Amino acid sequence: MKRPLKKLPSRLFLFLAAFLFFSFLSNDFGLVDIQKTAIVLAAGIDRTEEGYEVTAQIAVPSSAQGGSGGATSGVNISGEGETVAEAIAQIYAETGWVPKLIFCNLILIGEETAEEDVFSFLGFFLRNEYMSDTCRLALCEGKAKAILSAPAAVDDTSSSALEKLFSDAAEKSGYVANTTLKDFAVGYYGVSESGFMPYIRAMEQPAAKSAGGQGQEENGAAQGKSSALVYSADETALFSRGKFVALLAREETFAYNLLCGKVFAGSFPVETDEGAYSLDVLKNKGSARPDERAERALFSVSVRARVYDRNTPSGMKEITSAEVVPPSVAREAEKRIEKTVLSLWEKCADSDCDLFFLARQLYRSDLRLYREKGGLPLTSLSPSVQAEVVGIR
Amino acid sequence: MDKISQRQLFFFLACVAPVGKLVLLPAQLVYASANDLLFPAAANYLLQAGAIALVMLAARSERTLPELLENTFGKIAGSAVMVCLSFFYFYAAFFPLIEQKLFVQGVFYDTLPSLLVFSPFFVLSAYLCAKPASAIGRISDMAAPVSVVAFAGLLVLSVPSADFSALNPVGAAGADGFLRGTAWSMSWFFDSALLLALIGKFRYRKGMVWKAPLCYLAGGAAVIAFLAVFYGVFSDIALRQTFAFAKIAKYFSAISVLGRIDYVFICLLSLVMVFYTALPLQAGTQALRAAFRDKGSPAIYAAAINAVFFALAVLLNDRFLAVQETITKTLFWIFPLFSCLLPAAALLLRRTPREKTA
Repeated sequence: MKRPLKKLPSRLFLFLAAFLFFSFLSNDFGLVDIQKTAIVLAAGIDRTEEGYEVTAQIAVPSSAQGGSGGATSGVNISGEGETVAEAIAQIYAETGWVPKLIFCNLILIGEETAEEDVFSFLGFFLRNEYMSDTCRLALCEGKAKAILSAPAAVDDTSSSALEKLFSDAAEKSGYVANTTLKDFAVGYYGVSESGFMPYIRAMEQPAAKSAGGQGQEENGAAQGKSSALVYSADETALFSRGKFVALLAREETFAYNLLCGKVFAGSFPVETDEGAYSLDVLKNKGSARPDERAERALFSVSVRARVYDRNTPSGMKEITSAEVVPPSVAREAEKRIEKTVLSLWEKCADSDCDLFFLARQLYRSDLRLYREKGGLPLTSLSPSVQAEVVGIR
Repeated sequence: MDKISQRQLFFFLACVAPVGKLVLLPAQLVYASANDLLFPAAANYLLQAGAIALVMLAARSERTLPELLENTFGKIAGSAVMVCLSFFYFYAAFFPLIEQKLFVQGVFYDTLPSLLVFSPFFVLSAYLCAKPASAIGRISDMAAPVSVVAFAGLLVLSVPSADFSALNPVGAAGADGFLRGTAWSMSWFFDSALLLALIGKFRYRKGMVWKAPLCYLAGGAAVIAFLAVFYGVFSDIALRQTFAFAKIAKYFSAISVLGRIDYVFICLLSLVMVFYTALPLQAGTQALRAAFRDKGSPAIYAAAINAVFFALAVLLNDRFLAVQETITKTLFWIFPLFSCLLPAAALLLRRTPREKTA
């Protein structure tokens, strides 16, 4: 009898520790009532006369809507209020669904909404401890509600279709400049006070049904996708002090990604006297920084590429031998990159968007010079671009 | 057996003590010193390492603190000092306790849970408070490997997302920022005072006077590395990142595919933190018992003290900011008083009792 009693304190200790650990991780023993919880996949923000309209795309299992099951479709519900929080509360009040933002992977901002400081409402999402700050941000043409509400041609929900545009593969192609809530906030609250996000355009795709063959057409018709949308995100919206100030074209977005050294699988066209080429970027390095005196903005791009397409019929031997980029094509590609970078810089300087965070770089590397200059006005910098395109096999 | 071994002591200093500095301290340092957050933390670590060396020198007498006080000041005055010290331990215990409560509520729950969720902490703490110093030793033995693995795991997941250039320009916060950061973070540094409660309960061995501070500084180096990664990950929005160690690893690229695997490490560190949070309460209970010459069962002291702390936690449940401002910004000076000056004063205490005069 004595031995078990001796061991009682240590057993009690173990029991208490286990109980404590369990209660810490219990998450209130099943807090989420799925019937009353709306899992928000994406939120669209539009400005109204009184404040904001928030469109929440809520995940609904297909079987719940009478579908075949397995897939997820979305229901779009809007709420209005003076603040985003009030608009979300209205969704709750009108539907009885508690909007849960933890799975919200996209915040889509209507174009007009971004004419004023977007952190008047993004602050709500940044403060929200129950939302991930890794969610994507995007600005869209027209109203965010219109884009989220219209059926997508390539997926069951518009948010899933939009997220495809921001995939890693898309980013490596160089034709989309992705950002997250956290990265955008770091840019906004830093000394550069600048940021960017992809600009979404939606296009009706009546041909999408016929292009996919009869089976797909029937499927699309069954789901009532009379005017399904496809999207592009190859333009980039520039922000200064939280306001939308300029738009980068597709080529400029590509040049920006080259300068960031993010392109590993993109292709870009080059036209020479010998004909049209398409180069495949296999490796890319880039940098953008102010010089030591902070008088020039130094841009450098280095690309390793091969010929992807010559736009002419060729035999197998010719294809093999013509994969190496001819010097004239490489020089033309360099000129093209330099020209695009200059046009990109002009837009940044004119709109006072420090896209390359040059002010932040100067602040971190030479605080005294930064203070002497009173910051780093972009218009005071003259650009210097150096591009190098080298062909490899 | 009210004893703790040298190994257990070193494990506590190197592996358990750093865990208490990972929740709200990083954001507080950023608030006071912005990108220069590493320097105030290093200053406090150096101060504490010095104080720990002093505690080790005092420990050479192999007398407990109540014995030393009694030898020097007599029974009544010695008891009065022990009561003061026990109140300091209780004061020091309160903020980590609130910190732990907020952490559990904020990180492990989607909405604000009932305070009852946190109540098991007081049950465990009451149990620990009733245990002698040897319990701390065993906890250190168990917690040290857990802490090392979890801490290393979190750092490995976080480093790829960190941009260390964010720590530049060095000195941007100036002397003001440095002093503010040092002062406002002192409430997290009272480990030398916790060791004071243990003198006489471990056998002093040659070299402990430098080995113990070195172990503490090794833990400090890990905390400073953590702070650097933390600021590298969050840069200009670091100020907003409370519960730092629960957030830094979530940007690891594989997490988008695998889910929040970092929670494994977060849970492990939380468990170690539970024990660390209970230690000042344990030290306070033992000091109070010593002041009253061990009259009454330790269980009664432990239950009463934890009941009071539970009541305080309920009472101040919605007043966290006021508590934080008071403890970390207004009354921060109490911490160096007990954790730096008291170890120095302990060197002056008499090892042997005064001879009674006729």
